[in-house]
Amino acid sequence: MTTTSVGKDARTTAFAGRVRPVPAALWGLAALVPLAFVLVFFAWPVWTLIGRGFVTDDGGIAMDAVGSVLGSARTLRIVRTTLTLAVLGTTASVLLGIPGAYVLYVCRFPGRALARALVTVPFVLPTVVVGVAFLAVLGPRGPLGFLGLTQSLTAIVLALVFFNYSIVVRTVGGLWSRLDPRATQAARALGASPRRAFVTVTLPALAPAIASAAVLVFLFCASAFGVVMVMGGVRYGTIETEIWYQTTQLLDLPAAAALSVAQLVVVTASLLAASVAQSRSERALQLRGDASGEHPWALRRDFAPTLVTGLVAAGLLALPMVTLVIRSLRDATGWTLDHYRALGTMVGRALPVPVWVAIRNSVVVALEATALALVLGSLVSLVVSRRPRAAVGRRALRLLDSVFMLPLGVSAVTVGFGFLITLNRPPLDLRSSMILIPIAQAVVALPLVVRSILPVLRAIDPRQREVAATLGASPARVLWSVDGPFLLRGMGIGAGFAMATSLGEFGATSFLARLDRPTLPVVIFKLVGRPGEANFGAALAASVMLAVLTAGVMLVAELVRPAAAGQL
Amino acid sequence: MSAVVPSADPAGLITDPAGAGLVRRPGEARPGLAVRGLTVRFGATVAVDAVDLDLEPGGILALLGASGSGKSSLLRGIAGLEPLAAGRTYWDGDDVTDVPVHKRGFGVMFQDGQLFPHRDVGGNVAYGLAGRAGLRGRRGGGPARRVAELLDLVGLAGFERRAVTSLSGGQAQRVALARALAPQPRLLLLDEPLSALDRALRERLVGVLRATLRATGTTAIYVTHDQDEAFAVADRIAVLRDGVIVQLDTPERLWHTPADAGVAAFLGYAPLLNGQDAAVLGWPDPIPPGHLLAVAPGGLAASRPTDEHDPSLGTDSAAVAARIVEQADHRGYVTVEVELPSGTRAEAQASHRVVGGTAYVRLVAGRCVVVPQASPPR
Repeated sequence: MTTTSVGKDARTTAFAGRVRPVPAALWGLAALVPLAFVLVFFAWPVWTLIGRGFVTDDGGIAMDAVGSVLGSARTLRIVRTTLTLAVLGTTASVLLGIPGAYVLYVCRFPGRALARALVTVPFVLPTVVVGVAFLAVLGPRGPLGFLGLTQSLTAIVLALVFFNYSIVVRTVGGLWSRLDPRATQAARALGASPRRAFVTVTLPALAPAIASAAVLVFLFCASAFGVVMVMGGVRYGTIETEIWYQTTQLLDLPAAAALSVAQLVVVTASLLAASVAQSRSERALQLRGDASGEHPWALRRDFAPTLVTGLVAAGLLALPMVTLVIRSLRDATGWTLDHYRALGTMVGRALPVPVWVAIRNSVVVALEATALALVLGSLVSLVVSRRPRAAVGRRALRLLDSVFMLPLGVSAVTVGFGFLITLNRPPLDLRSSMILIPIAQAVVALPLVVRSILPVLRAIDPRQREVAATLGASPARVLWSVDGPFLLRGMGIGAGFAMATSLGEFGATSFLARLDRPTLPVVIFKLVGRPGEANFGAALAASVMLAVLTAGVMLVAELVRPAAAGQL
Repeated sequence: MSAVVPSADPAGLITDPAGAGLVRRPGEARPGLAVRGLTVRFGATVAVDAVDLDLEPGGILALLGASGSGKSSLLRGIAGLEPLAAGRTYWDGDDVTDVPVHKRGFGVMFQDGQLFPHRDVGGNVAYGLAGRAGLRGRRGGGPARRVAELLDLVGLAGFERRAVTSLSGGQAQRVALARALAPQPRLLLLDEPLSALDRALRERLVGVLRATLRATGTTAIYVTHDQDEAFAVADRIAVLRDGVIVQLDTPERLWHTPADAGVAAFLGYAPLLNGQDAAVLGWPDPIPPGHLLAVAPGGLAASRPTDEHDPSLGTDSAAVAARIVEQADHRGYVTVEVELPSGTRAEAQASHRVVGGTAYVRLVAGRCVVVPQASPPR
């Protein structure tokens, strides 16, 4: 018997220190909370919405109703407009964005950081503000009013490019600056002209980034709501604005639901394309950790792209922003602060509350939405950034990752509409409480937060955690000391995006905001829709306020993020 | 039941040198590391195949092998970083196979350091101290003094406040070494710690490493594909091939008696001559069947028959004429690739370039060793 007792002792001591399945359970719980949130506040409303489109009141499948909505001439025209806008907006953004990526990310020149920041500002500007800014430029009394582009397709496309230009520049530029320049140098040494080296070496290397940027831009263009609402008037409705119109103006919920289904199809197809592009771009490229793909700016070599980028920056990006500010400070007689003074009032009797109350509402709602999105987004990112050994675990995490990306694709309008028909009656009657708006905005912001935090966490070499463990750090300490600093950094950026998104959120909010508790974008939309110079002036001033708020938030997020982490 | 029975239970076992049987003496735990049947699989690939290994406290063992030989997987398996398909790991007779990495007390140093970028040098070195000494004395003199001592030991005194991003590759690896030593691991596992550095730096740091490991009395396993590094650092060297240890010996014995032709070739023996070629070159004893004559660098000398630079060669009747294929210059010698009478090509050494199309080659006694063509199957 003695023979086995020693072995038993050895095993007992071994078992004493064995990893218990507790961490796995904790990770499960961490995944469960955001999953439940997305199920209740995203999947359920959207599912109900689809059902509303297909199921009649007596429970039958109403394909006829769907067919009649989708087959109508009006719907066809709207779908065509949506796709035309998306294709034109995407093409222009990509064509203009590639030279921009080159100049702003590959060339080194003094003031580049400032130039990059300027290009990024439009991306965080609320859609309503962009719409108002373009109206200010192209409208009857604007600097380019003589072109007669108000309420034209061109105007909307320009505004879409204004928005999405920076996506292309940043996605493509980020990759370009890290491309190993020696591949191009090798091609040149083999006798390729600069042009041929670009087409045969650089462009194929950039292709994944261009593709993934293009898909994202297409998605944003196809689901653009605020810009089209402000600029399109009645002539250019898209699927998104039509859903809003059918719901709130005609009260035709089945028609709106059918349109939402059409939008889901468009978006799902884009998302599938995006994930294909993404998986290609994650294929190992010859990347350098540092930005060694950069070189100093040179007039001769970089003249053409610099000219294009300069024209875009001045004419397309700066002009609307500057015009917005200037016109908010002018009336028919000259310089004035009247438009800003009007923000303290209800602007005649146009609004139910003074504008400053709407500003306060917006800030409160945005803070709530940001807190919600940050907590959920951090949990999601921490879970998804784990690297389980089992293939089934890795598959589960990939699935989880895409589940939390879904709200990015399903338009905010669909979310707002879904809330409207789901959460306004038992078991969850939240319609009367203000909490629905922050929740809807958190749903919209969640993918952005995850996209801010997850790449930072994924960039951690797994051996960093291994080394920490071999130095005696418990799993909790590994999480806190290795993941923690990166998480904080990602949260800083994520908080900025979430807050900026919430402040400017219009799609979902336009369905959910109560008349007596409007947010700032809702107020701006109301003001633009009313005739009269005073109303438009107040809309300009309110847009400037909203723009300053969002840009300020992004700036603070950049500044407060941990300095040490910023060096990474 | 008898007190001594053959058993697979390695707690307190004595391993028979031939590995034929395991004999246990109850109550007597073997100090240091014992690995039994350690197997690591990646899908269908067997990276480490049932490896047995012992290491006494204070010893430094090098795991030497070509890339893909399974040496890093074996190291990660011992550290607990890689799940084992089979096998157990023991320390002082205790089974630590199921002890999580952070409680095992085995330190790891990676090829690229893996310093924590958001901590300064001092913060990196102190990382492992907090877990063990507790958070109480963190701001006190204890850990700070220990950090200073360790940095001094690796030749980086005063570097505490430096950002790790400002370090050179060699400095970063020295910080990584200090960090790994700080918690006084009972076993330090080094995974190609110098491979990312250039040759000159590597040669200098190998001395620092060995001196540091000796000064701290650290038990260590050192994974490398570099023969010189292994010979410079370790007191024993295990040569891995296809996930199996083919030879485990002191550096001296490994060099003088390679287990088989593969080990000899990996250590740098060339050419490996068959009995016929050896006899032609004047090797006095017959080479047994299934064996080869492994020639160490410099073991095959080439010269002109009447080389005025080396008069001793002129009268060497054992030398054999061979056609010169190619010659290449090196620091201090010339390699002459020749075609032996049998048609085999071999690289010989000479002090100067050999003029003309024919060189005379001969074997140098004491630089040749007879090795089996292949190891006997396990």
